Amino acid sequence: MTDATREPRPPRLLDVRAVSKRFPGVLALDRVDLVLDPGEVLGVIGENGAGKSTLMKILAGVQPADGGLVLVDGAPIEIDGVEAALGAGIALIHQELNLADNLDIAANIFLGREPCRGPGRVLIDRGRMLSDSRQFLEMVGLDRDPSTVVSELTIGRQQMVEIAKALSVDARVLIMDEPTSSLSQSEAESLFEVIGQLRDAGKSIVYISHRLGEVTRLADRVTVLRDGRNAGELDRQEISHDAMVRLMVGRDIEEWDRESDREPGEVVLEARGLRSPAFPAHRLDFALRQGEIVGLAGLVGAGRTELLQTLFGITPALDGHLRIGDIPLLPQDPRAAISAGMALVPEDRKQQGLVLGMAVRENISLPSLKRDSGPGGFLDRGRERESCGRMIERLRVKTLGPEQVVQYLSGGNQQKVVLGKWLAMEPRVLLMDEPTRGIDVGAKQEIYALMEELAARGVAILFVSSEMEEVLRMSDRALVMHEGRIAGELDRDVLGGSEGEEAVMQLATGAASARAMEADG
Amino acid sequence: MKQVLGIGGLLLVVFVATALMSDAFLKPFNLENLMKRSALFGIISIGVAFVIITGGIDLSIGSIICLVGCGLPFLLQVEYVAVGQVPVVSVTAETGTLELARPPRGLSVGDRIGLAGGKKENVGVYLVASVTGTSVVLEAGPESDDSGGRLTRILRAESGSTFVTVPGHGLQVRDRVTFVLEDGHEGATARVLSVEGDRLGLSEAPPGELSGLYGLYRRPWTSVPVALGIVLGASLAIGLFHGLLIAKLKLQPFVVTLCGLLLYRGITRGFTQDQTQGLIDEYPTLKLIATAQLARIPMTWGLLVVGGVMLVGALAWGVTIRRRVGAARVSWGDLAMPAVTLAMGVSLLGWGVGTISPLETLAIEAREREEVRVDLPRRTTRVSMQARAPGSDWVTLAETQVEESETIQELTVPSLETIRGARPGDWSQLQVVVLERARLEIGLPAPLVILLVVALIASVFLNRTIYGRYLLAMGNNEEAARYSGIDTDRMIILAYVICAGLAGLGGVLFVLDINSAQPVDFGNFYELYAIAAAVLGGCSLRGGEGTIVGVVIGAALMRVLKNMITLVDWMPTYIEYAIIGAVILAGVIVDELVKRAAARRRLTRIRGGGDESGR
Repeated sequence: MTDATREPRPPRLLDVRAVSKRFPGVLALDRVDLVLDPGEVLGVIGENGAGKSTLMKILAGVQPADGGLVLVDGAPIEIDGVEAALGAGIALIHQELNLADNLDIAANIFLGREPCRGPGRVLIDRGRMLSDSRQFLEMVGLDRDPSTVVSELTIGRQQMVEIAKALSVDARVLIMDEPTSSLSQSEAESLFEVIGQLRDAGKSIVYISHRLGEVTRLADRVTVLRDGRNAGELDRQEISHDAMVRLMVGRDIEEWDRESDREPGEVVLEARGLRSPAFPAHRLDFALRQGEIVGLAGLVGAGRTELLQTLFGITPALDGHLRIGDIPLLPQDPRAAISAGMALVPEDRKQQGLVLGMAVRENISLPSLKRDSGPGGFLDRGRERESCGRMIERLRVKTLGPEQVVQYLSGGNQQKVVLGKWLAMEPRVLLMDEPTRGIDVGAKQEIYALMEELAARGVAILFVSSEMEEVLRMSDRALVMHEGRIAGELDRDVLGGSEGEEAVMQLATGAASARAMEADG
Repeated sequence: MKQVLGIGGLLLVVFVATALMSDAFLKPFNLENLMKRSALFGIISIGVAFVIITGGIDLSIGSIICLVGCGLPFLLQVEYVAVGQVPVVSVTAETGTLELARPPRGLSVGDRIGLAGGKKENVGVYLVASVTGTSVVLEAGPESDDSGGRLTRILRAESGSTFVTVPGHGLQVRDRVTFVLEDGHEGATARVLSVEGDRLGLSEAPPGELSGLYGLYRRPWTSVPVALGIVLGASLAIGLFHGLLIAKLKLQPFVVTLCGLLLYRGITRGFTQDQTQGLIDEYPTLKLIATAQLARIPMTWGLLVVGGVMLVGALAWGVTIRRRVGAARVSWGDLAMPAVTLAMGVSLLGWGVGTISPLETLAIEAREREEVRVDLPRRTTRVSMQARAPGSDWVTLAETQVEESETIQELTVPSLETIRGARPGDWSQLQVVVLERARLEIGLPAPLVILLVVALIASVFLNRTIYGRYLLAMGNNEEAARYSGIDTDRMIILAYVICAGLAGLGGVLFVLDINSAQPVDFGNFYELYAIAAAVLGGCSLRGGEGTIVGVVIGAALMRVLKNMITLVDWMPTYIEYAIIGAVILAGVIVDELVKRAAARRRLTRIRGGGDESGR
């Protein structure tokens, strides 16, 4: 292990040299290099499809590399499986958590490596499992009993369990792939804290994220990938939003500029005393105006998605009044909501937004088929093809053609297809749930531009976002939810001001209303 | 079309292999039967395909077929009610008085009655002395007192072979008569075939010691339309029931239809009391739905025309693809469909040529004193025998009609001596000329036409209507379909109704074809055959995938396999399930591999501009 004699400095903890990976028809990684030192947080960024996830899967032994070399402590190792990677001290914390949520925390931490006792070592040593688990939970600052069933934990805490699990195998390199994508702001905060502690304890962390703000804050060094190649590296002092974007896209993206002269029109959606089944204790009142973009902010679990689903009739409201245009309607199913002029771009694109196995054409036309069909329900295939073609062009969906199966599109293009299917219905009210989650920077800008364009045409947009930046930039007005109720409303002036983020956070965490209550008292 | 490539190829291979291994396979009779059975199974397979496309399953098909197959003959069963038969309450031997359960209609003094069903010694034919209310006094009374039996008015009948003259019979064609013997015992029952005034034409001649007969009115339980309405309505209702449980109560399809499988067979065995239900020969017209041959097609011409069209079509198709893709880049994958079609065309042409029945001249080694046996080619209908003297031309001695046969026939040619005796001449050589052979014809079974109609409607429904698109979308991703405003519950219910309805139609056709149904095992395992056919035809049990053409081919493949096992000598029939299972498994494996290869190719095309240049 002491190659230091041959090198001026101690060997890198992890040294990846010229790793390549070819998928059928595409070179996902082209001689990529990456180095990692002990006690370092390395940000790895790049647009979707740049090869970040593939590189990490190779390091974690999920996929084999086609070429190149991985050295740990200066010694070349062969990673031919997850076992080998863990043996070398490399653990991957997946973007979608890989926990068995019907089992408890301890069982998850030791899944597959349960300490055993008894004759033949066939019995699980439950006591040791629990006490060891407690120790690892302490390291990640999770104060829960290890016999708690994982499904009872919030997503953020589940992530901590994942990290504890990685620590339990004595991992020295923790790879985190989009760890905050489903975390609320406060959960993300505690994650950052844990990352800091781990770094101080000498662990190395590879941090992959689209959220450049987080990377700026956490990373000691940033490696940028573009189209499967190394696009550049930034040291601590070089890290800035612009520098990263420039390397990621290979060009400068013009800074987003807000159209401030948008004038909201008449009220198109008005909710009074709306009670959703998820939070039956609260009645919600709010209104949306024509041509208005309203952000729905709050922590994960605050009831934002549930509100959209209630408006759209997926989980019908228990009671209350809802008016869409001039029509009083409490949608009992999505059909009613759609015919009233509503559309929902759901949170889970692959599960709720798209029929992955079907063509772009079939997905785009799905909601409008009934309207466009002939008598007797016969398809008007010419019309279908034509309107789908127009939509592909308008949204600049990158696809081989309308017959392309949606599954094979990138996340951004998939999201455009979801948007396309609703635009074909010409909605008056567009509900969007995390419209840019998991989408690369370029596509994000296009979706923002599209939202602006729709608003300019008079569509009312209500969007849920966990990205503070997105809420602050896009909203004409923001509703902030806290534990199932609307804690407050912030207008453009506040959002655009320097205190915008703090104002949102105070409402979202309930601090503001608590203060208000104190003031009342 | 590409989805059915694998299964179509497999069908072709099995078909050709069976034809090579068994002589009987290509016989018109066998092919007709094969087409009929394939059609029946095709219909139920299309039904289950709809359910499978939604991601569900229907295990109750066999039991629905049993319910319908037994229910239809049960509803259509015919009772024969004796005319003028009255139950006897008591017999008083002393006075010769019978006390009846109700006043005998149309019975008058001098009529003859038969007494049966009571004490043995009382059975006999008696003359009526008087009738008052419910009591009848007989002229020469019965021998002992009794409390039971039945009285039947006997019609006087004069017999002449199968024609009987019965004054005032009031019977119609398809009614029946029971003969009554002179000793009062009941004889055979005969059907009435014709009615001309008092004269009845019967299916059987009356026995010698005929004393008379009584008529049996034919009384069907229900009429044909009502019975069909009930059984088909019941199967649709079952589908609705399944659909509601699955869509609204969110029960699992497997569980619901597994219970259905048990339920409907049990119900059928209950109401039929486990008795075989048969149509006997009461409904010849109705049975035509399943058994009629709509046309008889000359096989040679049919095969040559179809084969030729496929040959030319495949070539044109191939050329079109080559032109569209570009000659340099065309791959075997692109040309697979035309290639298979071409192979099928060539096989059909070859087969067609094989069925041509040439007229031959058979040379004979003539014998002076002995007869010679000549083997005639199959289906020979007319031959002529010719003879010639040395140095002169052939002279026709006789032309003979031969009975058409599917096997080789022998013709006996007399000895030269006999021939010279019949027709003087210096005959030294003989030959037999085949003048005429029957054309090989194949019948078009009615169920095949029903299948084609069902398949066409199903295909249009699935591919050309919004509902078909909804079904496919829902099968792929039910949640996304619901988020898109599709009434997924209604589509699920619709799929189960279609499935059960087609199972019901299948049940009707099966029982009309087979003529009887045993509640214990009628339709047993049919759901598995149907599901296997659908899966072979490209339906994924995960839902969202499937073509009607594929399913029909899948059903045909299952039948050809079964036929192969029956016909090929060295395949023991008891390993039938093993062979079918193995072939299905092989088919599904090949299909999966083909699909993966196709997906990989597609991925290459999508992602890999770079890949092309790299090559």
